Amino acid sequence: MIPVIQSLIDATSAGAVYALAALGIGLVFGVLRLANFANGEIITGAGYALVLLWPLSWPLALAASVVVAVGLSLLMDLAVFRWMRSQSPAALLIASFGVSILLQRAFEGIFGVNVRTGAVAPALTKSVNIGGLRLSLLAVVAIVLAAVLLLGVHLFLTRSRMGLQVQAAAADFREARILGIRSGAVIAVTLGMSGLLAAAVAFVLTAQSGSVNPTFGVQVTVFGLIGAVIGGLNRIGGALIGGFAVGFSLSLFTTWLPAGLGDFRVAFVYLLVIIVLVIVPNGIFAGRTAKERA
Amino acid sequence: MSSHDDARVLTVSGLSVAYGGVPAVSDLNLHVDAGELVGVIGPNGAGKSSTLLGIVNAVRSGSTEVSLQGVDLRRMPPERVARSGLALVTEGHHIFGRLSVHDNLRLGTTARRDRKGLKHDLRWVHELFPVLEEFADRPAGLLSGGQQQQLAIGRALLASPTLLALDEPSLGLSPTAVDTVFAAIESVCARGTAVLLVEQRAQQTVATAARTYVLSEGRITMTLSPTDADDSALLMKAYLGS
Repeated sequence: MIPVIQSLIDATSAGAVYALAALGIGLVFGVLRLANFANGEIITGAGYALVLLWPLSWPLALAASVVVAVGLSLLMDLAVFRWMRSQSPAALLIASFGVSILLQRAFEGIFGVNVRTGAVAPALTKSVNIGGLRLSLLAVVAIVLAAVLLLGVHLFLTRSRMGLQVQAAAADFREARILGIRSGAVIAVTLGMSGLLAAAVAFVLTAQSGSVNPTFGVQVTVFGLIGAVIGGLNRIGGALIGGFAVGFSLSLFTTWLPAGLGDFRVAFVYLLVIIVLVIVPNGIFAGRTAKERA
Repeated sequence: MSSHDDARVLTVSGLSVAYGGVPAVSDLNLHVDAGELVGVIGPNGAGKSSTLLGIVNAVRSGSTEVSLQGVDLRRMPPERVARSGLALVTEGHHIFGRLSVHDNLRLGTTARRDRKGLKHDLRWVHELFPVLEEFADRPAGLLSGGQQQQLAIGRALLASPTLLALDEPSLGLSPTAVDTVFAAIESVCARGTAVLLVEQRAQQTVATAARTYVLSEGRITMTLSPTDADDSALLMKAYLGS
C-alpha cells in the first residue's frame, strides 16, 4: 500500500510540473495562436540562471531565472512572432522550431555542449517521514508551488481587469480589439505569465537534477505541448489537465511497467495520446470553444 | 461650411476594402451628424460588414478620409478607434460566451475615456435591457440570440461612445426581439448618441433612420429618406439595381 501511495505522490508531483509547462503553452496559444516550441529554451535559459547562480546567492538565482525567462519570452515575440501576427498557427509553430534551434545553438556557444552542474535548493533533496511514508520534500514543494501558481493565474484571469481582457483576447482577438482592449498589453502580460511559469518549471527540474544542458527544456515542453493538445489547446483549463495527465502517466509508467518495458514508457504515453486524439481530435475539453472561435 | 462641420460626427470619404484583390467596398462616402440615426441597407455581400470593419481598421482598407469629430482614425489600430469613441457591434453579436453577462459588460467599459458616469450608464443599460440585470451572473453563452444581441449592444454602450455602429443587429432574431432592439436603438439616438445602423431589414431601417444609404456591390447607389419607406417599388429597385 505504501509504495503505491508514494508512487502516486511522485506522479502527482510530475503531473504538477507538466501542468505548469502546459499552462504556459496554453495561455500563449490562447492569445497568440502560437504553439511555442521555443518555450523549452525559455525553461533552459532559466535553468542556466539557477544552476550557475545558486551557489553564489540563491535569491539572485531565483530573481535572475524569472528575469531571464520573462525576458526571453518577450524578446522572441519582439524579434520574430510579432512580425507574423497574421500568419497561420502552422507557420508560427514552424517559426518557433527555428527560434528553439537557434537558442539551443546559442546556449551551446555560451555555456558549452556539456552538462553544467550546480546544486539548486539542495535542502529540498531530503525526504520527510510521515507515518512510514517516505516523501521527497521536493515532490511536496513541486505540488505546492504548482497549486499556488495555478491558483494565482486563475485568480488573475477571473478577478482582475487585465485578466478579463486576456480571457477576452483568447476567446476572440479581433472582437477584443474592437472593444478597445490593447493588444500589445494583453500579449505582453500573457508572455510574462508564460515566462514566470517556465521559470517555476526550471526551478523544480534543476532542483531535481542539479544540472542543465542546451536541450534541458525540450522534453518537458514536448510533453507540455502534447498535454495541452490532448486537453484542448483552446481551453486554458484543458491544457492544464492534459499536461497533468501526461506527467502523471509518464511517472506511473516509470514505476509500474515491468523492468524490460520501462524504457518504452514514452512510447506508452504517445500511444495513449494517439488513442485520445483519434477519439476527440480537438482535445478532450475543446467542445464548445472550437465553435465559439470560428 | 464650418458650422456644418461642427455637427459632423463621422466622415468617411473614398473608403475601399478588398480581400485578396477582390473589391468588397469601392470609393464609399458617407457621413453621420450629431444625434443622427443613419442607415445603410443592401443585400447579402453588398459590402456592409466590410464597410464597418474598414472604418474601425479591423480589416485593411484605403480611404481619403475617415474621421470621428475631426480626429483622423485612418492610422489607428482598432483598439484606439474604440478608445476614440466609435463603438462597433459586430455582426453575429460576438459576446464572450464563457464569461458572465456582468463580465461582458465590464469589458465594454475598456474603451471609456473616464469612469465618470459609469454607474449612471450601467443603470441606463439595465433599464434598456432588464434581462442583462436579471441574468448578470449567468454565462453569456446561455442567453438566447436576442438576449445576446442586447448584451452586445449594452456592452458597446458602456464605452460611452460618440458614435454607435451596429452591423445587422436584427439578424436571426424573433420579431419581438427585433422590436426590442429597434426601440433600444431609437432611445440611444434620443439620448444624443449618433448611430450608424447597417441592416438588411430595409423597410424598418428606412422608416427609422434620418437618412439611409443603399449599398450595392460595394458602392452607394442611392440615398433614401423616411418618406421612401412605404414606396416598395423604390425599395425593390434599390435592392435589385435599376
